Amino acid sequence: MNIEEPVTVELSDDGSPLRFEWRGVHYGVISAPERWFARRPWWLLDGRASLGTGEALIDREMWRVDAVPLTAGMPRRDGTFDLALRSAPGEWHMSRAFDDVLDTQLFA
Amino acid sequence: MPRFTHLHVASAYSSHFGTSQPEALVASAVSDGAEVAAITDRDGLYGAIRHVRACIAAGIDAVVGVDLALLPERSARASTPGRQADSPAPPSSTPARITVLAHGHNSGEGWAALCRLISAAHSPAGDGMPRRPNDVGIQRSRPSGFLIGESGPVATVLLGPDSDVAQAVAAADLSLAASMLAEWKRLLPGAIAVEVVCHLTEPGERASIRHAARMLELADSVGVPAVLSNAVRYLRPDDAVTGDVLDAADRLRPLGAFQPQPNAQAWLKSADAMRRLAFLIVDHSALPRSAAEQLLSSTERLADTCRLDPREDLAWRRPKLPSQTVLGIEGDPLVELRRRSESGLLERYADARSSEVESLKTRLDTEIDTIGRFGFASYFLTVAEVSSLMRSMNVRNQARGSGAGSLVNFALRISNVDPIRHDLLFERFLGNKRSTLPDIDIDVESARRHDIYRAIFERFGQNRVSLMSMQNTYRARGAARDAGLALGLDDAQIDLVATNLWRFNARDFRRVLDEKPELREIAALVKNDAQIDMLVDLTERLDRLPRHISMHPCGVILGNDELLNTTPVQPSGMGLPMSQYDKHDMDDAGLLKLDVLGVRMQSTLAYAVSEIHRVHGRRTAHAGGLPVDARYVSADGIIELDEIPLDDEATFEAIRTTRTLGMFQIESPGQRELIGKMQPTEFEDLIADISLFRPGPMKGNMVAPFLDTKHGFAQPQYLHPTFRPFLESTYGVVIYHEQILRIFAACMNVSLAEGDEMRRTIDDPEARVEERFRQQTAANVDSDGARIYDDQAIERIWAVLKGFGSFGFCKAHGAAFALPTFQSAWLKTHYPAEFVAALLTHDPGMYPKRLLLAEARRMGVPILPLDVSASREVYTVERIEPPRSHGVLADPDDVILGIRLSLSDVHGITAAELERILENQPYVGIGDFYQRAAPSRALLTRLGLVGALDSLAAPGEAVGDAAASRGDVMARVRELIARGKRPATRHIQPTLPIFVDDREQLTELAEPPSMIERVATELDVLQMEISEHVIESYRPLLDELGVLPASELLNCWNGTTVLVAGIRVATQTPPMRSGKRVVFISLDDGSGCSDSTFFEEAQDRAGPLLFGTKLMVIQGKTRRTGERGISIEASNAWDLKALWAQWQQTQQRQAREAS
Repeated sequence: MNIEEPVTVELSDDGSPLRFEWRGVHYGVISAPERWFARRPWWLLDGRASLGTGEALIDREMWRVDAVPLTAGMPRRDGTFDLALRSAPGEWHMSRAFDDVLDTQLFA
Repeated sequence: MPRFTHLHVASAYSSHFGTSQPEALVASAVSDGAEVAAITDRDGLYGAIRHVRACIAAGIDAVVGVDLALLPERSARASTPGRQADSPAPPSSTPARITVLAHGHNSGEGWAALCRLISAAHSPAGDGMPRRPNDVGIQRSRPSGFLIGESGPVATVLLGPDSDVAQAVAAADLSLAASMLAEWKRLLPGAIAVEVVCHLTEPGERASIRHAARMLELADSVGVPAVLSNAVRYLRPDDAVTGDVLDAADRLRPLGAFQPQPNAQAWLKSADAMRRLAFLIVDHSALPRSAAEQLLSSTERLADTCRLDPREDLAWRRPKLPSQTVLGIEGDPLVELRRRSESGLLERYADARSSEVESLKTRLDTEIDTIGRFGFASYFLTVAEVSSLMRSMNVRNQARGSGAGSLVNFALRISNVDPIRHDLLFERFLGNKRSTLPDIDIDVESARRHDIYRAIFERFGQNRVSLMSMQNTYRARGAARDAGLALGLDDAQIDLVATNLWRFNARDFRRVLDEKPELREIAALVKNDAQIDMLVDLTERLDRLPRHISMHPCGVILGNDELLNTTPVQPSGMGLPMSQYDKHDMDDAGLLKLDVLGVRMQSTLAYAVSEIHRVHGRRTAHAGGLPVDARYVSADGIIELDEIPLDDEATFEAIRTTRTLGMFQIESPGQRELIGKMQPTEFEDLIADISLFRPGPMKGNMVAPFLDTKHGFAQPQYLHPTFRPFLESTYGVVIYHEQILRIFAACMNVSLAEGDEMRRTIDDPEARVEERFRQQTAANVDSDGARIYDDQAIERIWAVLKGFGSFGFCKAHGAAFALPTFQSAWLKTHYPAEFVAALLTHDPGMYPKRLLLAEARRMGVPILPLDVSASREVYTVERIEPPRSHGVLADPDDVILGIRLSLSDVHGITAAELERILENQPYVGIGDFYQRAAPSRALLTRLGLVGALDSLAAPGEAVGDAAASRGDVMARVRELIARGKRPATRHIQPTLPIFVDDREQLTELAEPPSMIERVATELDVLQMEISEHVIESYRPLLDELGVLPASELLNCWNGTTVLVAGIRVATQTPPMRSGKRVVFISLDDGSGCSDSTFFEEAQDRAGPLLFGTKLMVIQGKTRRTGERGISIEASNAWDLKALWAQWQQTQQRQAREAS
């Protein structure tokens, strides 16, 4: 499910996500995060594509993590999330969440 | 720092895929500390020679491979029988791909295997024609036959992220993947490796970390070596955007309409980054950490195995010539060359005195000695063989270029220009220091070019001959079109941009937007439309990338028995195999390329000669006003064009009128101007004219002194009296390279070959040409010990030599060019009807056919209308007999020759229709024609509209009022078309009665077409008008504006402001030394041609009209350019159609107001 909402992310020493807070709930990463690159449809976005400026046009850095809620009172359920690094340093997006139960809860 | 070798790298020569030039990729690898660099282009070795060259230059070793599609096994005839059932099927419909790397240091075995495998991947489809792009590739069972040599593997197959194995892994079918890999291992023992690639794609997808880890584990478990690569497709992340656009161009679909590349990670990553990737992959696998080091070291081991030795593996730069056996000679080729040249010489100079023969033989010996020293004898014999092959096929041919300077070439009949008579030098062609094969280019009749190619293949053998290819690269227009397609712009927008791009580099698009007046509209769009703005960026990105490969227009490669081990071949558009190398690869690959260039003028000349023979037969000489005993006309009327006298005064007189339309190379507006000034009187003048008509000499004021001296206004100024013998023919002006050679030789007492060496190196500081020239010339003394050249003379001579570099022209080249110029002028002078018919048939020039028709009329040659009973597939000459008076046959000299229009110019006629029409000629009626020639309804209508059926309308009667009769014809055509079925062919009975029946009632309905309609129709159907010039439709407006007919321009004083109008026949933007662009536009108005020059300001005013508008009105000032020359310096231009629309509106308004 596509989310695209801002999240606060706490990083480990090697720069990978360790914990994050999303919609008031704290989550802890419980697997080795996997870094990957998604792509943007740059031709739909405003802007230019002149030679030498294309580096940031396509790649969108993502971290896929398995995480569980740490906040008390929430059911401890594993979820898989794509956390996207935004262009400004330190800013993150919750790009996608993969969890059937979460789906139903969010759109109940 | 440990090295890392990228073994899988696509360059821009993977067309519509790669984005980076091989040289740039190598440079980047070198700066990252690589010792080896690989290139593995898709489907071929298109960039391989460049890559090897770049590696040699950078001092590293080259690895070469190919990236090939894996085709499904064809059940019937693939692999060993019985194994078929075991072969697992590929799991997905996307074609899998493999990479094949040649091993090196095995005497070229690896290279040969690679070449042959690639040729097999392109082997022709059933009809001998190229495969469709999707069908290029190889079945899994086939590589082993090529790659496993007698002493083991000579290449390695990489199974990367696009392989069938990787597809199975991505589909999470690990057991299928394992069995596939085991099968590969069985097929290619010791010649297989798993290529682990991690592009950090979405977890689980191909080339993700997980996927790479599974591939590595699989290699480990099946026992196949694994190597790491980044499956590189571009140099930097930035280039991935270009990759997206190329993907769109490849699929012919806009971005967003197909699955794009997953991200921008396929760039040439540093060794460090690759090491980190190795550890990342291993960390995500079940293997121990040491597996990462193993992966990296096995990559380098494979790289080492694949290092090529250019000398041993490719025979780098060593000429690979056809062998003696193929040429049919025994013993020393040099002896044979001497024998043939000597006997050829005696034939060529049959009338020479014995003293002349002696000096000819001396020169011939010198040439042959030089040829022998280089070991080029078989080369000359090969070219002579090709040339004689052409003669035996009766195809006109003529060597061009510096080769015409060789007496050997003249004796062997490779060239037809007498080098002695025109003082052409062998040393300019083949000096002392050449190491690569000299170029001999042969011009042939364009219409027979393919026949010649086939004959060469037959003569030398399929395995020793190949056509050369050429890479077509993106230019501004094509780049804008493909970029527009990628962005999903609509066709109208794309057209608007593309049609206004005129000869500039796509990468300068944005910079020139504000500079070029014709781009004004686009510049405005860019400011308001983000997509057009983006289009400019993408167009710049595509600039100069290879788009597709095609057959080179003239290159034929003649090789030895090893040719197919040296280059991969693929079918060309005409079916014959073509090499994947282009002309820049020839010298390095050691291949001999012969340029067999199709020249339409040669076809024109040949056709004119055959028409003359057909029409006049034994009366040929008489009909052309030639002496009846002319040696160059055979008894039955065949003219030997290469033997005509080069001093024919009638021909020069015709040239001097500047009515040079159709004369080879001297018909352009600029040339007409120069010819008008020069008033040539001899063949040497034509050579000079052609040599001078280039930007350098025109700007460098070499023309004025030449003309002034020629016309007697000035005394010739010889740089030094000793130069007189070789500067006399150019009135003291130094024009030719040959003269420079002679100057060096005279001043410095050196040989002509040394003189050529000085000429070539004059700008090279290391050669110290100036120092040596001054010293040796000063030391040059006569028998009394007096200096021949004083200091002043040395200054003067050096100044000319120094300044000459960019201006000079090879005289042999000019002389070879001047021959067809003279021959065409001669034919036009003596046989105007036959020559214009040939021009119309083969269309060699720069002008549209309508201008040729006007020229024919001007010369009193009538144009005979299109007639389905009389017109052929070519333009023919017909005799129009004068009416008999009192039963007495008319004097044959009163016969007028006319030109009958050709059916092949009827728009939309198919080859089959044309053939049927010709086969069944003549016809007795329109119905008869419709039935027996079976034209499509559309074609019948078009033929009727242009009058091709008029002769069938009123059989037996003289055609009266043509216009009225045309109305009848069209009525009949409509009646025939309206019937559901064509009458059955068995009804041979002409259907005329029906026609007669119908006519009564239909004529009334059928309005005869107006003149404007007729012209419009003719233009439409024939792309030229016959009845009346298109401009005549606008006559009332033109008269009101006071537009001057082109024919009257010459009566104007210099500097008169005039208006001219017409249809654009030529646009030129010749290079200018100032760097500023000048646009020449020629308009034809039926009375003649006007030539207008647009300088900057006028270009600005004309804006988008400059290149887009057909019918124009131009205002400007006349500028006299000589006795018979005049041009217009334009100040403004308008679109005639737009003016006409405005004018009509005004007229109507005035009419309304008046009433």
